[in-house]
Amino acid sequence: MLHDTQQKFLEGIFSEEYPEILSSVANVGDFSPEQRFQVYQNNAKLILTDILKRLYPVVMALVGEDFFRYLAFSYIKAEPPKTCDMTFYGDSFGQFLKSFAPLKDLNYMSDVADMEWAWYKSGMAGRKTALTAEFLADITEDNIPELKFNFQPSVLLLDSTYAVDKIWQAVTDNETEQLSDIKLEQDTYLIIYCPSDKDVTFLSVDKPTYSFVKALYNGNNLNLALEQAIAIDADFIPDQHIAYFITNSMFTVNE
Amino acid sequence: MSASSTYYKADMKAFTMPDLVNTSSGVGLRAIHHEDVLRERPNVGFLEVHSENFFHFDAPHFKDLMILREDYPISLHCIGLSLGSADGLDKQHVEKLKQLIEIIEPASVSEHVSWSRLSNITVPDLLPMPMIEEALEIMIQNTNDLQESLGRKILMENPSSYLAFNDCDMTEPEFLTELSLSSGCGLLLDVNNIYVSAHNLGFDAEEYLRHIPAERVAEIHLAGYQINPVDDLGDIYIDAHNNPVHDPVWDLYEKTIALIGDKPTLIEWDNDLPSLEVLVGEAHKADKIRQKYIPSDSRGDNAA
Repeated sequence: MLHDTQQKFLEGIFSEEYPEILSSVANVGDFSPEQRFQVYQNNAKLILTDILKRLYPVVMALVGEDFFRYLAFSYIKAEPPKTCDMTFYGDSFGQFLKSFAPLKDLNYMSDVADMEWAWYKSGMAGRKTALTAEFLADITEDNIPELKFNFQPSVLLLDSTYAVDKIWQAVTDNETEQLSDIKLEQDTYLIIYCPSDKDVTFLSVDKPTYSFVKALYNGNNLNLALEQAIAIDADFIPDQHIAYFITNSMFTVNE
Repeated sequence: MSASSTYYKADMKAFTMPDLVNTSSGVGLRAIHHEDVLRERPNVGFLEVHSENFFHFDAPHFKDLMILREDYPISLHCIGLSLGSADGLDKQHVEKLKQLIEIIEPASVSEHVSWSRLSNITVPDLLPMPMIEEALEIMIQNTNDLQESLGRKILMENPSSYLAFNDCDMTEPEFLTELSLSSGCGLLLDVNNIYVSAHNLGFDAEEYLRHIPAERVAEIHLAGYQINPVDDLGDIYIDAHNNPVHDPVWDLYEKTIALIGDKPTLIEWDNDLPSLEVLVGEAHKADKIRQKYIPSDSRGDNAA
């Protein structure tokens, strides 16, 4: 019986129909069972919408707060939380936007959401002991091609066929009037990382560099990563990139 | 019928008070105050955190808790165990809590008399339990299973309620008493919740208090509620934790400790958070009231 009651209660929370559970609610005092139940419906909606608002402020700025609430509730109904640990609730929001009919003409929106999610995830990822320049002292010419690098958990890669970084920057800098000047369809390659404990940032790179980093990121050795970058740009030189990643503590030591 | 005939006499388990006794009042530690608390080390008796916010040990804010646990007793207050769920315990959730407890070594661990998960769907809220025997049995079973898994007793908090179910077998104080006596858990008495529920459901808060077993209460919570007008019918009070403690709740708090004795007390503030100074000021206000009810020969020096 308790299971049945809780099942109906749960269905009512995410429903816009008249909830079946109301027949089990005592009709006491000045308020109807429906008004009383609405407190729980509103609480759940408010808490989950607030989570999504915090995670996706750029999407919200682009679609407007009222539409975002509608969008958020559509997502909440389609994908209610599975666990009480809400740390990673909202991870599939970008994917959801891809198939959300009212946004079908704004294809870039899901990629903007993916960038926001990567931003949050990077900030939550924590840090391991960083690889320092001293490490390079032990490298001999013979073992360079076989070198592999481990990236900090906070380093995330994102590519898009839209200028999501420029859109993100314009909204974050409160310069939305510049949005109309942005050429939307632009291949974009981003390395999102967290150089200190709490300040996430991103690096916008060209395609050869991204291919190089992605190959390393996927566990390939330096030789293979270099081959992939050179296939796109015969003049590609990795030195400055490796130096930048070490300076910004983006690699970790093997532990 | 009375549930007490079923449980009270049958299986009465001892309860040991957690290590929050004889401290000055504590405050809920929220992300926005981490830096201030680390810098200022305010004079409060303990810090309480929501366990689920610290389930990811690599997250940057986890380090803050690791530092603060050296200087303050920590209370882990759970909001997602869903101990009233007819589905039983979420073993993954319990395992994560167990790991957190091993790392933090908290003075106290607590949860709510509520549920939030069923059939792999979760509502991030504390949903109400029908006050029926089956619900009590399930909550006792889940609490027992949890305590066995953790190897320690927990505290269970009375909920804030906006509705009641038809066909109840017992009152909420009876439910809490039976839960405590049968599972051996202690009680965390949220005075704001009593006030809010009494207003919303039309019962007498002081009468409620008279039916709470004082010796099982190990902690008190205080918070500010929100007044939500409903059409022209009146106001529903929401346990929003977004205000200072309201005057009627302070009054009820004083009546509570006059009745059940001084207890470790915590100020909860989760939304529209004030400065740390204001939050700590609320804890010191609680201390002043508590001082009146602490026997002079057992007063410590640490109360503000």
